[in-house]
Amino acid sequence: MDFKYILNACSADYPARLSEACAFINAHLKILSDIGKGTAGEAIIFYCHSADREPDFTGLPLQRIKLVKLNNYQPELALSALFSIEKDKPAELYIFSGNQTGTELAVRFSCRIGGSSLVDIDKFELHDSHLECYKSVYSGYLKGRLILDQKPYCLTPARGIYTAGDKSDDIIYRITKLDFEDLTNINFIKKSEYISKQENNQLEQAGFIVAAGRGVKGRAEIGRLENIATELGAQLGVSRPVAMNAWAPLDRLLGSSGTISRPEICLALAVSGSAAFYAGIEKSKYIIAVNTDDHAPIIKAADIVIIDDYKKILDELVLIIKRDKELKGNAGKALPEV
Amino acid sequence: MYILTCFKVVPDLDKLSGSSWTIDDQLNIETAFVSKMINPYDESALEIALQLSDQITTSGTTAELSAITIGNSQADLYLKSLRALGYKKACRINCSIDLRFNPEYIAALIGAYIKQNNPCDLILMGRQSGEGDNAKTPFITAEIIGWPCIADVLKVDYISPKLISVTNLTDNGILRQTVKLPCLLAVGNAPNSHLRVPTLKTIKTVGNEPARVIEDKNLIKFVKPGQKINGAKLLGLELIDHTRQGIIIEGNSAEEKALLLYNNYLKGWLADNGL
Ligand SMILES: Cc1cc2nc3c(=O)[nH]c(=O)nc-3n(C[C@H](O)[C@H](O)[C@H](O)COP(=O)(O)OP(=O)(O)OC[C@H]3O[C@@H](n4cnc5c(N)ncnc54)[C@H](O)[C@@H]3O)c2cc1C
Ligand SMILES: Nc1ncnc2c1ncn2[C@@H]1O[C@H](COP(=O)(O)O)[C@@H](O)[C@H]1O
Repeated sequence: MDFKYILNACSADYPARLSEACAFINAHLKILSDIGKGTAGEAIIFYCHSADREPDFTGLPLQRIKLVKLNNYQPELALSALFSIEKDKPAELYIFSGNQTGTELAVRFSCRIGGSSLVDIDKFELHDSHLECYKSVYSGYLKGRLILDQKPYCLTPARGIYTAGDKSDDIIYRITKLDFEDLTNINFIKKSEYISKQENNQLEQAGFIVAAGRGVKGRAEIGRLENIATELGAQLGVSRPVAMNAWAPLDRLLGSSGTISRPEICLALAVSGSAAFYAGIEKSKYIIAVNTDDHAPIIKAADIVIIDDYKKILDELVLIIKRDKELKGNAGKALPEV
Repeated sequence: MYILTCFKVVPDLDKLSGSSWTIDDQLNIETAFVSKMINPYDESALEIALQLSDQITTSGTTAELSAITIGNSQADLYLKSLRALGYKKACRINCSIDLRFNPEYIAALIGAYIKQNNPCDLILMGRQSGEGDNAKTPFITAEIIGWPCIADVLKVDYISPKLISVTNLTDNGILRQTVKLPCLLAVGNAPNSHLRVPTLKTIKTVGNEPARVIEDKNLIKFVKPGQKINGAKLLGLELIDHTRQGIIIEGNSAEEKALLLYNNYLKGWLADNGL
């Protein structure tokens, strides 16, 4: 019996997903090696033929690595390749990355292989007859404990939990290579072009985030906030209503369906603090919220709170910071104490 | 072009305050007193289908829109307003079992409905729905009916009776593809896709005709033997506590509050973190 970790090196977030894999495997090592009965699991890594070199997997705490070359990354191609590799002797457990690719592959592969699936799980425990998993449900308000009882189990880790995995550096890898370049039969796609490429996710890496919610009331204000954020050395993130109104681009979306950030400081302006949004900022070290409504859920879920119009507070804050910077240049003087 | 949209009616969980979450012995949450809404992604899917239908009509061809939902009668009101918006067929598959964590069952019913006698070129669904937050139904449905699918769709445009242009968010950025039908699309955070509201006049034309209802047992018998129809089993539910310190900064003016925030917290934090 065995487990497999499936990674997709064609995706822009592969380095982050590789760290996630290391963290996830290390966190579950005891369970995973029980399954493996002493033999460590295997990683199956897809990569594209256009890549100039084979994917880097250093640190992955698995000895067996299968590198699978695809013509290009298309979920249907990866699925067909994975199914043909695994169909004769399926493993007991498959873990896929916590991104879009992983979700789609986990669910569709489990259908093809006759198993069961669950995505975005926080952790799991293996029992003889079933797998017990924990995951956020009810839009992130509740934690659910769920059972899967049909092998193979196909899972994806919840995003933002398994981040900085300790990389293993003493592993001697056994690498097998498979070529599925000839697999090109996706005749439902006639033409395909990227409108914009995902670069580094700046929100994911930011140390300081200004998060703006529906209360900012318009695109022009978002533009102003973006400038202020830049001035403060912060990145601007937004809630779903802001993104849905197209006041800000989608890559600015924070939350369970957007970016899960982990800044030192998050300044949350005019957001109510719904659980789905909060998932995107809950890993912040400090959360400062400004909201006119003292009953908004964000009030209790923040470290520091100001009940006021965010516009007034922010304008004052910008002035104070500016003044402070000037004063710093002017040694000896400090800001007046209130 | 036959376009089918699948939607779910869900409680607006953001309206439940921290103290009103009660979990009973059957692991049910009391949501009878909270307002209901169409799952936000499904709302976008329903609007995208309407926009596509508008484009098709402008081009001189015809589109037939249908919508289905699986659940109890709380969806009937929504079916009526969808009919007023131009959904020619809007029906509910009646089901009394616990659907929360059973996307397998829902997908099986949708698959059976399509195979039954409902012609379809394009299926639109949402990427995820409460209460289960499963994010699985579109993918399972695609596998059951053997169709290709595209995830996290943002925009759909008409090209010709068998071709559409689909823009979606991928792990590599925003992709635009020309897609041959049939295909299933799972709609993501699609900007500018708020569902339009029917006018009083169009609602009146729909009249008091009751919603079309199909019993799940009449469909489930068409499910392939051996096909998985049971989802994950729920063992426990627990409220997640997001509480932090919640220190409120009091002051007589915005200036005073901002200054207190800066002097007492922000300045130090920024300096500590090299920001
Ligand atoms: C399946 C699912 C997934 C979801 N995923 C996400 C997600 O990933 N990200 C996300 O953000 N949402 C997500 N949502 C939506 C989420 O449930 C909320 O609807 C959304 O987060 C609310 O955004 P908001 O706080 O900006 O708006 P609102 O809830 O409308 O809050 C606006 C707040 O601004 C305050 N305000 C107004 N004016 C001012 C002012 N001048 N000064 C100060 N305060 C002011 C108001 O008091 C209010 O508290 C999801 C929902 C579902 C069902
Ligand atoms: N009860 C239902 N009736 C109709 N469609 C549903 C139902 N439940 C889920 N769906 C569809 O499946 C999508 C994903 O839901 P889920 O897999 O539950 O997260 C939703 O956005 C809907 O389009």
